[in-house]
This record gives sequence, C-alpha cells and structure tokens, in this order.
Amino acid sequence: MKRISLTLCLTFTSVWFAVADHHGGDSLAKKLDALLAGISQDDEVARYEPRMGVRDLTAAASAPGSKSREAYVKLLLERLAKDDTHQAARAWILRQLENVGRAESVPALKKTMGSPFHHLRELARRALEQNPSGEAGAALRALAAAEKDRGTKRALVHSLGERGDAKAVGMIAEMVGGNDSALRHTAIGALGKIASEEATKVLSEGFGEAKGADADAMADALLESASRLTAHHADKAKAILEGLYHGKTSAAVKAAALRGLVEADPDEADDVILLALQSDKGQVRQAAINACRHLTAPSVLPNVLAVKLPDLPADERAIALAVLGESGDSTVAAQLTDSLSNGKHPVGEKVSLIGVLGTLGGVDAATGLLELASLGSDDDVKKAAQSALASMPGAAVDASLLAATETGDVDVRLQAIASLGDRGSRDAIPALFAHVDRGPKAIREASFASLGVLVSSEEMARLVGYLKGGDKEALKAVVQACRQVQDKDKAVDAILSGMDPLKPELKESLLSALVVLGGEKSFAKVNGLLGDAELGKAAMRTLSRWNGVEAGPVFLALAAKDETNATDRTLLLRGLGRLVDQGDGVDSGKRLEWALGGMKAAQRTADKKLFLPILAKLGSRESAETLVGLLGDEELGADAAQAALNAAKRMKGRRSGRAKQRLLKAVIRSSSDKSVVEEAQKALDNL
Amino acid sequence: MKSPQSLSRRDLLKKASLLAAPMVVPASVLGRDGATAPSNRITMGLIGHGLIMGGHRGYHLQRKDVQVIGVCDVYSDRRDKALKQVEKTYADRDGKGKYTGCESYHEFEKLVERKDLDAVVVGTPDHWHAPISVAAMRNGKDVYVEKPMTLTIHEGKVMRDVSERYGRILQVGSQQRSERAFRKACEIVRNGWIGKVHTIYAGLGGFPAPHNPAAQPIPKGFDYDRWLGPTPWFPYNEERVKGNYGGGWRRFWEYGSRKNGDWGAHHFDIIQWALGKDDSGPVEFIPKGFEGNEYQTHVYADGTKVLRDHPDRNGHMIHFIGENGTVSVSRGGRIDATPAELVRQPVGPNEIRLYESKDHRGNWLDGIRTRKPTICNVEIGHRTSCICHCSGIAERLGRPIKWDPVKEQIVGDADAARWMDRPRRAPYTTL
Repeated sequence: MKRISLTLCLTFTSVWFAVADHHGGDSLAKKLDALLAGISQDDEVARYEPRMGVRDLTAAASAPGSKSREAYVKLLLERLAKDDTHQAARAWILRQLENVGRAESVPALKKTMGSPFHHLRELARRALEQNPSGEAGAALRALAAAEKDRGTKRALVHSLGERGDAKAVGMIAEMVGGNDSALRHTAIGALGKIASEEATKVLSEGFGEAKGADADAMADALLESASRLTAHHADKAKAILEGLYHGKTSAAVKAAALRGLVEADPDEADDVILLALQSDKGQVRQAAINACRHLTAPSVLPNVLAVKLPDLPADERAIALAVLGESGDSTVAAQLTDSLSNGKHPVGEKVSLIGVLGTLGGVDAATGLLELASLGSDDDVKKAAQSALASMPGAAVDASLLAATETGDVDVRLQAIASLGDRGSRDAIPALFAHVDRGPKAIREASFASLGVLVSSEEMARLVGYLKGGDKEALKAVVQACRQVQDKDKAVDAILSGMDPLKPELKESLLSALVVLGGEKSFAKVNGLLGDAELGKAAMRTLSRWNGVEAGPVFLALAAKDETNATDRTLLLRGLGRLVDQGDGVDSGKRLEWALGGMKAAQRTADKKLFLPILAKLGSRESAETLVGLLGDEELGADAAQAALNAAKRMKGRRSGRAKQRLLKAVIRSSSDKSVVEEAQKALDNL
Repeated sequence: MKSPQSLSRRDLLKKASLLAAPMVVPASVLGRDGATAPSNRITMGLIGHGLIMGGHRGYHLQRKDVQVIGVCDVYSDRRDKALKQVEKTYADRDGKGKYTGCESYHEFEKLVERKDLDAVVVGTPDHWHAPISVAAMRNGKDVYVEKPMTLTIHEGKVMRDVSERYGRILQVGSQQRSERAFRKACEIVRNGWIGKVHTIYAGLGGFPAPHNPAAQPIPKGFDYDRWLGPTPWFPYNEERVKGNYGGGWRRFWEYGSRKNGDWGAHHFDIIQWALGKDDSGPVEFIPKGFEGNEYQTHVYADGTKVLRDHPDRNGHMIHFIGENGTVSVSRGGRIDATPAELVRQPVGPNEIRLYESKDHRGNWLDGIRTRKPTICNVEIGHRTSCICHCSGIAERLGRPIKWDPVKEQIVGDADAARWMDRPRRAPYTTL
C-alpha cells in the first residue's frame, strides 16, 4: 500500500474540529478513515503520524464540553466492527477507546474479547478496565466467570480488582479456594483492593487457614484493605489490623499492622507503641520506634525512648536517635544531654547525639554543647558540638551564649564568642564591642574575629576606628567584614574616612580591604595613590590584584609605559591576564584586544607566554589566528603550538570543523614537539 | 477523628522533607563503617544493567558495608557482564582467585524473594520502576529507584502506600538534591532572600520526535516481551529498547514522559524543593502551543509560573526570578545570584536549613540503617513525578489540565483524568 501523505493527515486533523459543527459527521468520518488507512499500511514506520492524528482526534473529542465525543466514538466502534479493518487500525482504535470510551463501547469491547488475536483481546481488556461505566464492570465479571484461559482469567480478575468492583467479590472469592496458585494470588490481591465488607470477610476467614505464599498474599491483601478503609472506616481498619498484629503472623506483618494501627487510631498510639516496644521481636520494636515519628508531642519520646536510649541494642539506638532528632521535641534534650555526659557511647554515637541536640535546640542543650565544644577531649566531638551550636535554632540559644561570654572558664567564654559569630548573631555586636574595649587579650581577639563576620556597613566605621591602636586583629576583622558587608559603598566611605590618621603600614594594609570591596570609588582611591611617595608601591601591588573590569585599561596603560619597572609590569600583566581569563563583564572582543595588548606591552618572554593559554581558552577565530601567527615565533612557537592544540580541542559546534582542521594542520606543520604533533594528528584523525 | 497530636505516615514523609535543620546519623553509629563484618553488610540486588546502573554498580561494589548478592537483567549479555564485574571485584578485594557469592537473575521476582537480601537498586526504564519497586517492598526490601519514580500518577500512589505499609526506605535517584549548589539555591529561595519568587525557568532540552521504528529480529539472549512488560506490544527495534541519553527508549511515550520525565524529574524536583512544595504541587499545566503559549508552563496556586526551556536562564539549568533578585543554578556546583553576595551568605540558625546530603546513594544506605526517610523519599518522588506526568498528559491532549494537589486528581476533565494510569499488559499486570 502506498504511504498516505503525512501532510494530508495533519491538515485533516487541524481543520476538522473547526468545521465539524458545520459539516457534520461526514468530514469526521473521512478524516478518520484517511488516518486509519495510514495506520493500515504495512510499513510500521509510516504508521506513526496517522496514529498521532487519531490520538489528536481522540484528545479533541474527549475535551470538556466537546460536542463531538459521541459521534467520534460511534465512528470508532463502526470501524472496529468492519470486517476489512486492518488489525493495526483495530488495535489503535482500542487504544483510543481506553481513553474516550464509555458505556456505548462495552458491547464491542466484550465482543473483541472473543477475538482469536491475543493482542486485540488484551487491548479490549485494558479498555474495559479504564471504562467508567457500570456496564464495563458487568462485562468484566461475565467475561471473568466464563473465561477458560488461565492467563486471560487472571488478567480479567486483576482488572476487576483495579476497578474496586464490589459486585465481583462472590465470584472472586470462589477463585481463592481454587487449585491454580497464580489465579488464587491474583484473586486475593483483587479482594484486598476492593476492600468491601464482604471482601475483607473472605480474606479474614481465609487467612486463618492459609499457609506459605497464600498466607503472605492474604496478609498483604488485608493490610491493603485496612489501608483503604482507614480514611473513612477507621474502626474496620483497626479490627483488621489488630487481628494481624495479635494473630500468629510474621514479624514483618506485625510491624506493618502496628504502623497501620498508629495511623488508624492515633489517639491510642502511645499505648500501642509502648506495648510494641516490649516485643521480643526486633523488627516489631524497630517499627515501634519508627512509629514514634508519627506523633508530634508524644509522651513516649521523653518518658520512654529518651530514657531507654542507652539500653537499646545498637541498631535500635540509631533509629531512636534519628526519631528523637526529627521530633523537634526539646523536652527530650535534658535526657539526651545527660546520656551524652554519662552514657558510654562510642564517638560516632556521641557525634550523632550532638547532631540531635543541635536539631532540637533549647538552652539546656546549648549549655551542654558549649561545654563539649570548648572543653571536650575528642576532636570529632568538639567539632560536632561547635557545628551544632552554630546551627541550633532559637533566640534563647543566642541569649544563653551571650551570657556565657561574660564570666566563667575562659575557654568556654572564647567558644561562646566564636559561636555567636558562627550563628550570625547580630544582637551580640554591642557586647562584643564592649569585650574589645575592656576584655583581656584572648577575649578581645576572639571578639574581633566574631565582629568581622557580624558587622554590617553600619558598624564598619567603629571597627575601622580600632585600627588607630595598630591592632592586627582589628585589621583582620575589617578585611573579613569587607567580604560580607552588603552595602559596599558605605563600607568604602568608612574605610576612606578612617584611613587618613593611620600609620603608613596600616594604610597599606587597608588597601587590601579596598580590593575586597571593589567598586569604582575604591579603584579611584588606589589609582590615585600610584604617584604617592609613601604609598605608591603598595598601591601598585594592590592595583595588580584588582578584580573589576575598570582596571583593564589602566593595567594596559601602565604596563606599556617605559618607566614602569619590570616587577610592577609583570604584576600588572598578571592582573590583566586574570581579567581576560575570568571574562566577567567583558565581551570577547575586548578580551582579545586586552590579551593582544598585554602581549605587546610585555617585555619578558615569560610575561608574553602568560597570554597564550588565555588565547587558547578564548576559542574565537581571531584568537586562533593569533596563535597560528605565533607558531613560527622563535621565542613563543613551542608554547603557541601547545596553546593552539588546546584551542582546537575546545572548539565546539558544527561549524567549527574547518577552523579546527586548519589549526591542527598548522600545528602539525610548525611544531617541533613530537608529542604535540602526535596529539594534533590524532585529533585531526578523529575529525 | 484524627488527633491533632498525630501525623499520618504520609505526613511523616512530608515532615521529614521539611526538617528545619539537617540531622545526620551517620553509618558509623552502628559501627558499620570501615572494616565491616560480612554479616553486618547491607546485601544488595542490582536490577537493570543499562547506562545508569554502571555508576550504581561501581559505587556499591566499592562500599565496604555493602555486599552485592544478585544482578538481574532481561539481556543475558548485560547480566553476564555485571556478574563478572561483581565476581572480579570481590575476588580482588578478598585476595582470592575466585568469588561465587553473587547470583544472576532473568526474573526480578526471584531476586526480590530472597530472604537474605536487604535492598535493591532499580535502574530499568521507567515502565518497570513501580512494578519492581513494589514487589521488592512487599518482600521487605529497601529500594533505590531511578528517576522519574513512576510511569503513571497512580503508580506513585501505590508505591507510597506500599512503602508506608511495610516501612521501607526508598530513595529516588534525583541526585541533584544531594548537590550543595542546588541545596544552597533552594535555601536562598526558601528564606526569601530574593523576595517572593514569581517565575522560574527550567532547561530540559528535547528529544527527537517519537516514532515507530521498523520491525527488526529480536536479538538472541534478549527477552523482549519481558522488557516491554506492562506496556503495549510493539514490534522490536533496537532504537525502541536501547538506553541512550539522546533518545532510545526515552524518546517514546510508552516508556516514560520524554524530557519531562528525564530532565524534568531533576529540575522540577529542585523547584518543588525551593518552593517548599514537596507535599504538594502545581495546580495547572499548560502545553506549549496552546493558544499561542510559547513555553510549556505549570502554575502553582500562588501564581508562581515554571516555564520550560525559556532561553533567558543566565546560562544555567534553573533560573529563579524573585521580586528582589535572582538565583541560577546548574550541575557542577555552579550557582549565581543577584545580589552576588547571597551565594556566600550563611543560613542563620533561625532560618530554614534544608535536609543536607552530600552523597545521594550514601544517604539511602544511612536511611537503611537508621530508618530515617531519605532526602528524596517516596512522597517527594511521587510529587515530582506527578509534575512530569501531568506535563506529558497536557502535551499529548493539547490542552491545559487542572490538578488538585490535595486530592491528587486531574479535575474538571473526566477523560484527561483517565490518563492518570495506564492499564498494564498481561501477564505483567501486578503492581
């Protein structure tokens, strides 16, 4: 058969719905027939587009408010019934009925279940399973009752289960007592999904007699029923679950029943869990500990689980710890802190306990952790405690740490100050400034360190003010603060206005802070100091570390000046190379221009070579041509060859093939480095 | 009436994903790190040895606390190669010439029935994820299942129910949740540092159009009928069954949700996390092309829109736009924000800290020991899959669909609601 034109099919699809109301069913029929003819081709590949055309018709017909659904389904059913309809077309019609068919489709689907072709029977069953009408249920029941083929019968029973067909229970119940084990298990599963009173009765009665795999299937089906009943019939669910929990069932079933009981009757969950914690079966105890997760404020947690923690077996202890941590119940913190101090936990478990306390928060936990973080003997434990203190929630924790900075053991005070910094506790800023003013050396230094991470631009001027005393810790704090303040301009103002009265060496150091802050104002200040007799050299060094693009032209201009000394030129060119390499805020043309300018300004070979890998990374046609031009250079040729090879490797995209080829050939022609040539040849071969 | 003091099992899974602070109980709690006694190792079965399983196999074979005791595939070649790798690795590890403690299986049912098996990794195509995972969980095994978790919305509900019933630990392979940059991006959004987020762009890319490849002879040693499993029968063609990140089975609607289920399962998952919607989801899905809609879109109840493949993503995979700034994030630890300082800004103790995992597979193994829900548990996996599937349904129907994330139903469109599940082909009907 000739291929049906795809364009024709799609045109039909797109225009049909626009005109359907005006031209009636004839045009729809023609459209569908054209598409079905396309599906009827022998060529599997050519069937795809017409299939999609039919799918689109189905989608449109099934849309809410569609007036064409009935007419469309009628056409599908007529074509399904026609003797000369191709099997592939029938199959696709059945797939559509799966999504759009209702009661009107059922007779045809039922009839198709008698087809000699397995695939068609299977598609008809699927369509019946998805069909929302009561007629489809009746058809499936009748078919299942009459079906002789065991596989098909199982599939039909499965469909009845998926539909939750309570009317099928009597028939399915008979299969539960049959000899075919596969059918038996399918029937049991279906009853579990149906979960009607009659279905659960069959399962409960059968469960007492069942053995082996049948018993497992029954238990699973009963659990499924209970799960479905819990939302609206919690009492019935509970009765099933209690039967399973107290009956002669496996530990796995008891554990599942326990979980179900907690959900079905949460008001009595504490008692259920308490009882289960006494079980001689580990799996049940673990389930009971796990079930504590379902309770937001259960007395079991502080009164039982936290108290029993040290005595639990290791695997149950691990689960209990996780449960306690997730509970958010800070009332357990005291027992856990006690357990941490007095219990003989291995280090790993201590770390876990500390993690739990960090999650729970609260002043008791904070006090215990502060002691461990400052005085603990094991490094892992100390680190865990410090980390927990940094993240534990609650303003009371900050207040408690703040109080701890005032008096007591100096190590504890130091840790409290550090923790306030770690926590980003801005409320501590006045107290920390007070410690800086009055505290002993160690406290003063720790306070500066925390202030460095806490201050905003508002407090920057005050912090800068401490530099007058020549305090190195104050300088570190200022530089650190520059990294994190958000209002950079204000911070720059604070530094610039605080700079003048400082000694030269401190001024020099503050230039580093300006690099961190960046911005045009800082740049102008540093640039303006280049000619300064006192700070000129420091300004040059600072400038060479500048990260903003505003520095590019200045770098180039200074490097090109003859009077710039060799060391400074190298520093400036390195700075320029960094800007080109990073490329932030600079377009590729400018990057190339700066790279070429830098090479021109360079007087040392090493400085020129700085730009070769950068040119390779730029990956543009112009940068590649520059590298090719350098291949014959006596001074730079060898490095340029390696850079050109790298540039070729980086070239991507369909259009890069020829440029890559040209570059690689040039490398092969020019390079005297055997390994570079071999690599280039290999890359060329791969092209 | 439900007590306000209690949480349902489903609530628990939601709660676990919303923990304000990370709470890590490492494997070392049980002393199972380092030199682990064979009797204390987690016994593992690996099912489906295509592209993605290569990484899982290598990882678990290197873990001293894991013992791979079964490999399963419907391709005999792949099965044999996997078995040989396991045997060689363990023979080398034990310093013995031979290792014979791992079995190979053609049928997963036989593997998951093993009493000595603790857990399975499911790395099959999407249409087998739910049936295998459910069978494993019914047999008391914990599961790591590749993303997207399911083929249909209904399958997700069944997986959640079975996981809860049997108390199984399940991890979905949306490993971006265990990458620092993605967590940081989500914390920036969740803590309101860029203000109320109103628009999100996600780059999923595209596959070639689906098609019907020509029939070819079925290769020897390949059980094609079982590979198709619950999906409708089609003639064999290598393109239909091969694992290929640029196409292969991922290209077909029969076996997944195309790019929505492929990259969408990663990026939509991160977006759910960032918006705090792990227990919920969008309310409307609008396909590309509907009434001139330029980009596939889904919309949350508060009006937040997610646009697929919008190009202005700042060169990133996901781009969040808030009232006061933006955050963009990609794999490889790439994250950018406006203002830029937000990336370095630490999360305060009284701010939202998201569940922290640095090793997605390791997080699952820790969960197996501590029974703590994983970072991408069954509820999260199901909710993200719903987005993938609803997007695919709207695309195929060519019209928007409304979704009720509380009832978990497609609403106002009875026939669209029928797409929430796909009937399963006999004899692979069991779910």
